[in-house]
Amino acid sequence: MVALVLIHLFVMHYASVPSATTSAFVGTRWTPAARGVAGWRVFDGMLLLLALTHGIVGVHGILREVVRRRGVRAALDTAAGATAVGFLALGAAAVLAGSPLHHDAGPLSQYAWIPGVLIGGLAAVATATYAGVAAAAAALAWRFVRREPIGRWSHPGQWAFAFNRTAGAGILAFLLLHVLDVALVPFAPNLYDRTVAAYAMPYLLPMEAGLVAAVVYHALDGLRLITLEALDRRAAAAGAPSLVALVALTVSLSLPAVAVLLGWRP
Amino acid sequence: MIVRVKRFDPAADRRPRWQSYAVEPRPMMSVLDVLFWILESLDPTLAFRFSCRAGMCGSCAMVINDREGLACGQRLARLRSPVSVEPLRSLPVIKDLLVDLRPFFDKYRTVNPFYVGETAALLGPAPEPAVVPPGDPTRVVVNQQIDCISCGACYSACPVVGIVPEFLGPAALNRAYAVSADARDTAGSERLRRISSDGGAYACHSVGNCVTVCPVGVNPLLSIQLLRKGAVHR
Repeated sequence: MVALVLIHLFVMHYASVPSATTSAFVGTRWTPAARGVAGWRVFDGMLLLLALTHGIVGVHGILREVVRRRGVRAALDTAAGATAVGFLALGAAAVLAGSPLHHDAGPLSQYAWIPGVLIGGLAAVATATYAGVAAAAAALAWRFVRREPIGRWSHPGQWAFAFNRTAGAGILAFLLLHVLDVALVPFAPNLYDRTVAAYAMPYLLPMEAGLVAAVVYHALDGLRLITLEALDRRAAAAGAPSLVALVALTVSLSLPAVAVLLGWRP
Repeated sequence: MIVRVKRFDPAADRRPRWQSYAVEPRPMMSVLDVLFWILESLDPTLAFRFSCRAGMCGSCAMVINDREGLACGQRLARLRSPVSVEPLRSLPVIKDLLVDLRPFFDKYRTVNPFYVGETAALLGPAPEPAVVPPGDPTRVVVNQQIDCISCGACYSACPVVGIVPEFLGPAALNRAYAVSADARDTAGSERLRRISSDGGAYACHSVGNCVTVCPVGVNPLLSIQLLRKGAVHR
C-alpha cells in the first residue's frame, strides 16, 4: 500500500498539480482502448480498497480507545463500516465505469450544485486543519511563554504518535471527499473539472501542502515502526533521533511538491 | 533556583495548584534532597513518598521538568530552572506528590507476575534444577527486563494508559514477558489470554515513552513486541 500511495502522490503532486488533473487527464488513464491503461484502473482500484480499509481500521482503533460505552461504540463502528463500504462501492463504480463517453457531460451533469458541496467540504477540511494547527501552536506557545510544564509533549515519541494519528485522520477526511469528486469523472466530467479547478484556490494550497506532508509522514512512520518491529529494535523508535530523522525526511520530500503547487516546474 | 511543586489535597482543594519555593542548590543535591529541605525548612505539609534514596526501590518516582524519573537520582544542578515537580500521571493523587499505586498494581496482578512451575511431587527425589546457559538469547533479553523496580514511571509516561483505562501498561506487560520467557514457566497460556484481550499488548501504539523514562534501562516496548510475536507463533 505504501508503494501505491507514494506512486499516486508522485503522479498527482510532483509530476503535476491536483488542479490540472482534469477529467481528460483521468479519462486518459482509464480509457480501455489505450495501451496499458488497464494497469492504472487496477492500480486506482487497489489503492482505493487498501486506503479505505486502512482508514476504517484506524477509525475502529480510535473508537475502541475514546468511546467507553460498548453500545455506542458498536453503533459508531457499524456506521463507519457502512460508510466505508458505501464509499468503496462508489469509488469502484467510477473505476469500473472508466473514462467518460463525452468530456463535457454525463448522466449527473445536470446537478450543478455538486461542485459547490465538494468545494465546501474541502474548505471545511482546510479550515479544520488551519484551526487545529493554530490552536495547538497557541496552546504550546502559551505554556512556553508562561514556562508551564508541557506534560507528555516533552517526549519525542508523543509527537510521533500525535503526528501519525492527526495525519491519518486528515488523510481519511480528504480521501472521502476525493472519492466523491473522482466518482464524477465518468458520470459528470464537467462538474469534476469545476471541482478540481478549486484546488488552485490560494485558501486550499496550504492544506494541499499539508496533505502531501501528512501522507509522506504517515507512510514513513508506518515503515519505521514495521522495520523496528522486524528488527526487534523498537527502543530506537523512542529516541529523539528517530523522530527528527522522520520529520526531516518528511519536510525534504514534501518541499518539491510545495514548490510545484506554487508554480515551479522542473 | 526556583522549584515549583504541584500541590493538591483532594480533601481541601478543588484543583491542583503550583507552589514555588526559592531553593539554594548545594553540590550533589538531588530533587529528593530539595523536597526534604522544603519539608523541613519551609513547608511541613508537603507530601511525597521515598524509601531507599539510592535509586533501587522506585518509591520516589515523579515527574520532574516534564519527565518521569526518580527524585533521588536527579541532580538539581543539572536541571533547568524553574524546576517543576509533579506527581506521576494517570494515577489518583493522595496528596501533593503522593499517588495511589493501586491501579498500577491491580493491572500488574492480572498478568500472573510470578513464575509458575510444575507442581513438585511431595515424595520421591527432587527434580534436577533446570540449566539455563548465561548466553541463551532469551535469557539475555530477560536479564535486562527483570531489572524493573515497579516505580510506575513508564505507566505515567504512557499516553495509551491516559487514553485507555483498561490498558495494562508497560510495566505489567514487561513483567508478563519476563516470566513467560522462562522456559520452565507453565502459566504461559493463561497469561497469553490476558495479554491478547482488550487492553493487552495489542493496545500499545509503540510510542516509546516507557523506554525513554525507565530509570533502570528496561525496555518494555521490546517486551510488548516479543509478547505479540509469541502470541502469533502460538
